[in-house]
Amino acid sequence: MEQPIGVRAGGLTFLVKRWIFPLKRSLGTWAFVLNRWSGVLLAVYLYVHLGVLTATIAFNQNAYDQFLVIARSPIGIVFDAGLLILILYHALNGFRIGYAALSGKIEQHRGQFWAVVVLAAALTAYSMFLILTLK
Amino acid sequence: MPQLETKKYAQRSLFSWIGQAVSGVLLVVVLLLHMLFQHFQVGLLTASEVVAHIARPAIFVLEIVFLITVTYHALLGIKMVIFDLKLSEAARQRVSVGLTILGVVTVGWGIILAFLISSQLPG
Repeated sequence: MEQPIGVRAGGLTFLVKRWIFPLKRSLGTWAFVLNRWSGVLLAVYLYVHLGVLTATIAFNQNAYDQFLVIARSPIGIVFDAGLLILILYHALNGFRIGYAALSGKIEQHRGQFWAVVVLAAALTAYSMFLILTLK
Repeated sequence: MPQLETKKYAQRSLFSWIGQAVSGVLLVVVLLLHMLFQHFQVGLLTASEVVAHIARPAIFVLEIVFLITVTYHALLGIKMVIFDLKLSEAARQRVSVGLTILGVVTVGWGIILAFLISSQLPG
């Protein structure tokens, strides 16, 4: 029977294999790994965001307005979509974990996980529609 | 005293879990407010619009609360990821101290940044 990631002792190699190649693992492991990766990427984004604001608007407003040209370009839009899906998945999965833990309905985790994925994708699609139609 | 050690780790893990849950809920609230006031109304603000926006006291306070919450949530999450590597007690303490210092520096950086931006308001 598969042990949840992070619970079984096994050292760095074991965890790296699980983290980078969670193939053939259960849905619960995928949910866990996706939650961790989205969290780590969002933590990195926090510092990128602070760095960009410091390098541009804090000292050079013209540089910030030039940055907006990139932010409004197709590359910027794709980046926004990626950021949105990370935030929405991480937030909704966080609520799923809290709900499952507090309600004790852990056995329904598969359905809850797919609900999170569908809801995150739908909200990202709707947000992208708003971004693309914003004047 | 392996049982005491296990209990200690379990208690720390529970406190971390509760900290993540509480800060996560607060983060969703302040993130929604941040998005509502900063992005949903007119899209991406220009530099002068950002300066005028951050200079408003209520928005300034909201952004600082957002900064503190997101930093706490992010670094506690990073700590939980690192602790999954089954570190020794000494290494755990070094990681905790390092991440606490990083958190203080990050919040300090963000507050200085907010002051720098808001101070550019003309007049």
